[in-house]
Amino acid sequence: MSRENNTNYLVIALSSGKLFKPSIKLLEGIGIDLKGGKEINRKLAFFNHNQEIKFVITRPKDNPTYVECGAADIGIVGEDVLLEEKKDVYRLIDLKFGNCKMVLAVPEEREQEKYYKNNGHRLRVATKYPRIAGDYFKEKGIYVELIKLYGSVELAPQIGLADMIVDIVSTGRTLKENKLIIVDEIIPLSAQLIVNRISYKTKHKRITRLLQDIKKFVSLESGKIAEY
Amino acid sequence: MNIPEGLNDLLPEEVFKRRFLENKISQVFNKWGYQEIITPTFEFYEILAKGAGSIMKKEMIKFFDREGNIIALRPEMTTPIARVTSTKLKGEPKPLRFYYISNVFRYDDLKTGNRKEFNQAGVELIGVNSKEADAEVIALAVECLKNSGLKKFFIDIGHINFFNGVMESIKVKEKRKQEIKKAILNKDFVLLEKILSLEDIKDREKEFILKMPTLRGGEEVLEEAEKMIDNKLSLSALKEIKEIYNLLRDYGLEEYILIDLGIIRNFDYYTGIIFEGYTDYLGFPVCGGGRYDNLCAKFGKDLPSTGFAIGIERLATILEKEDTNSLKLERPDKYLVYYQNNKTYFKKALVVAENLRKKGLIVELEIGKREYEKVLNYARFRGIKYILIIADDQSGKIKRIEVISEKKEIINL
Repeated sequence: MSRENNTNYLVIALSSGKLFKPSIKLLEGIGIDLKGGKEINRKLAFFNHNQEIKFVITRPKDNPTYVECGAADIGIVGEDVLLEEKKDVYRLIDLKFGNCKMVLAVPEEREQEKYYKNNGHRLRVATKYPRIAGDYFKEKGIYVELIKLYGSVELAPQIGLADMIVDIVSTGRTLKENKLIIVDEIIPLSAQLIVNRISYKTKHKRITRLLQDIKKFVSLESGKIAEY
Repeated sequence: MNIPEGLNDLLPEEVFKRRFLENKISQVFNKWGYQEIITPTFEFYEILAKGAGSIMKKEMIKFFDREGNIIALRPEMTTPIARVTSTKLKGEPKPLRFYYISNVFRYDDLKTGNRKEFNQAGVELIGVNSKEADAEVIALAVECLKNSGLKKFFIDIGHINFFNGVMESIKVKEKRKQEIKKAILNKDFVLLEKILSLEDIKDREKEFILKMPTLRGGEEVLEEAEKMIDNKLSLSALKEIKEIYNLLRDYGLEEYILIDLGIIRNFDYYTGIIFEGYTDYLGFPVCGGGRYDNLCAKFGKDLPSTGFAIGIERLATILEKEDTNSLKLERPDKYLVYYQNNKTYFKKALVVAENLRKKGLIVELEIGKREYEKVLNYARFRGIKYILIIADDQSGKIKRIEVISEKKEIINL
């Protein structure tokens, strides 16, 4: 059996995009040598043979799929993806980086107090997260028409595709630039650590040790932020 | 010309492997005194729903019959077998030992591959609530996996009442309790921690609930858990696990068995011991089962029962990952009998073919009236080993051509 397919290797799935750098920082912070992530930038899989770890870089949305199927043992993934994709995995640690929130935003000119009133027309909501948005409105008892988009959701209200949007914001700048205003914060979000349900059994010792290190690192880091 | 998403046509190579695996498993079932049972592919939804939790109810594939009844394709086999046993067989002496090898159907679009039809081999041991019954089905599961050729695997055993006891004993409002339960069932320990930090629960209990999914290993786990809990239900669950573990030791199977107090299985009908089997090679369990003492009563006859199911597709995947050759199965040599399109040789060709078949070989007859070159190409493509050329020879000697090398020899038949 080649080293690469050796089942002794711990496979960690990293999300590309904005969680990538802080994920590398986290892993290096607990003593896993990734050479700053430079080598992985071009490749989608990368090995640390000394520590018997394999890293794979996935599209953020695919990350929990890799973990659910056991192609990866551990995943670092955005909470938005986890809530939207609902995979059968263990969610074990809130990593407390990549903080942002899922919000409901409406155009500035819209009456904010009564944003849900629409002269008898059904509200149209554009979002990349139809499940999260759907659950939110269902709980509120508001009937809406969800319009699934894959990006630039802010555009939808401007050109009349939707009345409002459900999307992620971190700084709020994009919303402002597009004359949108937050009317409700649906849920705060951050990066999460997930584990395959079988790996949690078969590689229990290694994973537990890793989790302990990560927990320690996370609480130290979040302590630092609090000090500022 | 498409088929609906999530369904598969199985081509001969795959079918051959499937049947091989099914045979390996049913051999074991038969030897242990289990009898095969077949139930309808679809039934009334309300019957199947009696054994289904809320998720399974959604996952059932449903339609209407001509009278307007809701019909569903069976999502699993335990409920139909419980129905048959509690109605048609309620007077039979117990125990009843049944096995099945069946396709089941679910809308499983959140899972990998979006598979809507898959195959399960399983047993139900009905009418006995002894620990020996639980140990028997677990031992049988081990035996089946072994006989299929799987080398390295484990069965984790746990108990539904361990979790239930812990939940009952913590003193929080019912609504919170449901939230805690849901977080644990969803394996969401970040949310669980959040809920527990909100609620005024004793530190000791808090710590224990968070520790539950990690309580896994050999017998020592039971002692560790025993020290941490004091509710009767959980304690009796631990005692039951221990008894069953000891019985499995008598079977000589302890190397395959681990105790996992954090097992959560997504079926609502379980009432006692639960277990699942897994390997290094797949992120899903390969088999799972447990005790369900209340299901039969829903069909009118109170019968304690226990059983399990193996996922055939999952097992096949694992076997091929563990050893790429494990399903490259030996088959008898294939022959093609070629009577050279000469009517007078036809009868002789039939006799030759019949003789070879009696010896256990696979024999095709060339019926396409093709020329030799074309027949040779066909044989090569089909993986046929030898072509027999039937000719006007009374001696019983026949020309045999090895397809790959085109080497000729004369053989006696």
